[in-house]
Amino acid sequence: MGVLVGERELRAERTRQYATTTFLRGALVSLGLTLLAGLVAVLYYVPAAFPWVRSVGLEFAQLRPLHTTFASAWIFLGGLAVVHRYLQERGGLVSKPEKFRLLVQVLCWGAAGAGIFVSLLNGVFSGREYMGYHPSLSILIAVGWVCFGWNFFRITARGFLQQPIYVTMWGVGVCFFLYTFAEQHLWLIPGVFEEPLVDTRLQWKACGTLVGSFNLFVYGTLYYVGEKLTEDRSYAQSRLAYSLFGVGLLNSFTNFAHHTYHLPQSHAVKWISFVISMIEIIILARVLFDLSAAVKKARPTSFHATRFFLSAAKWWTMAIIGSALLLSIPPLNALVHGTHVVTGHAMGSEIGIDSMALFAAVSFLLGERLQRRQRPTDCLDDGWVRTGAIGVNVASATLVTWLTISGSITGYYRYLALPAPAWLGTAQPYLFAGAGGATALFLVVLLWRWLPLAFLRRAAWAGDREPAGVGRQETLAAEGLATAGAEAQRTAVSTTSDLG
Amino acid sequence: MPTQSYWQRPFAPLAKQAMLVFLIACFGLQTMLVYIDASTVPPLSQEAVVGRQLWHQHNCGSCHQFYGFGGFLGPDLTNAAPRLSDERLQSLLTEGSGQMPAFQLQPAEIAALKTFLIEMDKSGQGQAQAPALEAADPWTTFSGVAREQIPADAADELAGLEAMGNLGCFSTCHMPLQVSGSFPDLVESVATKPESEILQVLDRGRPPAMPDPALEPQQIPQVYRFLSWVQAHRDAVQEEVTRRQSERRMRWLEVPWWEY
Repeated sequence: MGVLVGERELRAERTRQYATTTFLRGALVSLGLTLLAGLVAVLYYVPAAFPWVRSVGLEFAQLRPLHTTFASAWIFLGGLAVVHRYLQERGGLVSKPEKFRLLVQVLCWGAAGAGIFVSLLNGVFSGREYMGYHPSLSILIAVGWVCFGWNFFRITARGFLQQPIYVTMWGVGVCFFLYTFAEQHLWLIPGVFEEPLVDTRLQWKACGTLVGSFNLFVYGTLYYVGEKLTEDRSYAQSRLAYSLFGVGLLNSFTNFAHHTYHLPQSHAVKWISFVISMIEIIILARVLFDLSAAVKKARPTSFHATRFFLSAAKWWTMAIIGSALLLSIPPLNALVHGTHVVTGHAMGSEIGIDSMALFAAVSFLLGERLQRRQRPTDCLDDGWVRTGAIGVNVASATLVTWLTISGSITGYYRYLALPAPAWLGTAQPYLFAGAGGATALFLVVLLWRWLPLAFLRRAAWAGDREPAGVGRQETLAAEGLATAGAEAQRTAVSTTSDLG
Repeated sequence: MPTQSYWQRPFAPLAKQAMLVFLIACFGLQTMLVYIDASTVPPLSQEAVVGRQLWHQHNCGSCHQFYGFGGFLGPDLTNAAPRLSDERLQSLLTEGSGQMPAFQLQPAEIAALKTFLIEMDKSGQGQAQAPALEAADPWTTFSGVAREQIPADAADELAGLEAMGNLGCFSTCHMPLQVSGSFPDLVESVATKPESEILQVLDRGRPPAMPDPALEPQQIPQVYRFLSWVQAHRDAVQEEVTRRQSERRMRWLEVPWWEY
C-alpha cells in the first residue's frame, strides 16, 4: 500500500512538474514570437526598409496584433508557470478530473496560440486593441482559464484568506481576468458596436483592468520566489504587503479612466480615477525608500541573474510609477494622449516591470530544473546572460526615453498647432527602430540561452562544464540566491502597487 | 525572537476579507458609473456601421487612431473627414500611400468608410488643441499667408493653392517649407527636380509610395505654378509664417482637463 501511495505521489509530482515546464516553455515561445513580430514590425518605421517587408507579404496590420497578443501571452503564461510551481508543493495528489482539466487547458491554449498565429498571418482580424484575433478563438482561451481557475481553487479555496498574499493575488487575478475578458467582448453586441464612444469606454475599462489581472500573476510570482529563496514566510503575510496590494488593486479597479479622460463621459468616473491615481505617490515614496536602502548597502561583486532582474524591476517600477503619475494629471494627459508617450509607458511597464520580474522567475525555475538534474547552474549567470540582461535594460531604457521625449514634443507642438521640428521626423524612424531592434536582439540573446534549458531533456551544453567547477558555482549561486531572495521580497512590495 | 514592527506583523484574515469586500465594492461602483453613463452621441447610421465593420476587418486601427486609441504609424482620423475629398479617399484606399497598403474595396465600401469617418468627426474632438488656435493648424497658417501674399491677378497660382488645399495633400503629407517625416517639401522639389518630373508626379503620383493626387488635368499646371511662386518668394512667406507661429505660447491654465 505504501508503495502504491508513493507511486501516486510520484505521478502527481510528474503531472504538476509537467504543468510548470509546459507553461514555462509556452511563455518563452510566446516571447520569441513577440520579438520576431516586433523586430519585423519596427522596420515599417524605416522608410528604406518597409518595402522589403511588404515584398515578402507581411503588413504592419498583421505584425502589430501578433506582437501585442503574444506579449500578453508571455506575461500570463510566465506567471502561470510560477503558479504551477507553487501547486507542485500545495497540490497533493492529482485526481483524474484535475488531470483532465489541465490537459484541456493546455490543448485549448495550444490550439488558440496556433490559431491566432495562423489567422493573423492570413489577415483575419477583429481589429481590436490587444485582442486583434478573431473572437471565436477567445472561446478556447476562456475555456482554458475556467479549467485553470477550477484546479487552482480546488487546491487553494480551503482557508483561502489564511494563505500568503501571492495566493490571494493569483486567486483575485483568475476571477478578475475572466470578468474583464468577457467584458472585452461586449462589442459583439450590435447595440454596443453601433455606438463607438460607448464601445471605446467599455473597451478601455476592460483593457485597463485586464492588464491589472495579468500583473496580479506577475507580482504574485515575486512574493513567491522571494519566499522560496529566503525561506521567510512572514513577508508574504505582512500588513505592509497587503496594504500596498490593496492600494495597487484599487488603482487597477478604477484608474483605467485616465485613458479616457478626453472621451465624452461622466466626470465622476474621471475624478475617481484621477484621485485614486494620485495615491500612487505613496507607492512611489515606498519604492524610493527601498531603492535608497539598496544603494546604501554594499553591492555583491558576482553577477547573479535572478538578483539582477529583480533589482532592475525595482528601478523600472520607480520610473514607470513616476510616468503613470504624470500621465494621470489631466492637462498633461491632454497634451500627450495619442502620442508615443503612451507607447513608451506601456513598453516600459511590459519590458521593465513585467518582463524583468518574469525573467527573475524564469531564471529561478531553470536553476531549479538544472539542480534537479544535478547540473551546474553557472550557465544561468554567464557572460551571454549578463550581456543580454544589461543590454536589454540599456536598450529598452533608451527606447522608452526616446518615445517619451518624441511623444511629449509632438503633443506640445500639436496643441499649439505648430509644425513639429524637422529633426524629430528625421530621427524618429531610426531611433525608434534602432532602440526597439536592439531591445529585441538582447532579448533574443537571453532566449538563446534559456530555450534549450527549457526544452531539452539533457541540456548538453549546460553539462559540458568541468565537474570541479560545480562546487564553486554552487557557492556563487547560493550567495546570489540569498541576496536575490531579499531583493525579490522588496521588489514585490514595490511593484504590487503598479497593477494598473 | 526579534520584535516585529507594526507593518511587518501578519495581516489578520478578517482584515483581508474586509479589504477585498471594499475593493470589490469600489470596482462595482466604478463599473456601474461606466455602464449607466448615457451617451450624448447618436448611434451610427446603418451605412456607417458597415464602414466600421470594414475598419475592423482590415485592422485599420493598427496604424490609425480614433480619439488617440490605436497604432501611431498613421495619423489620428477622428476629425479627418473634412480634409478628405472623395477622390483623395478613393486614391488613398485603392492605391495606398507610403506604409499604407492598397485595399481592394468596392465603391460602396469606400462610401461606407467615408460615412463612418464623417459620423466619427461629428462625435467630438480627437486631439487637444489650444482653444484660440482651433483654425490655425500649420496648413491653415501657411495657406493664409500665401493667400495674402499672392497677387490678386495671379489666378493660376491661387487656383493651384485651392486645389492642393482641397485635396489635403499638403495638410496630410507634404507640408510646404518643411519636411514631414519621409515626405519631401514639394516647394523645395520644384527647385531641385526637373519640371517634367514634378508634373508627372502631380498627374499620377508615385505608386505605391504615393497615390494619384487625383487632380483635374487643368489643375496640374496651376499647382506647379503655385509651387514655383512659393519657391520664388520663399523667404518672405517663411518669415511671415514664423512670425505668426512664434506668437503662440503655452497657457497651462487653458489646457483642458477632460474633453477637448
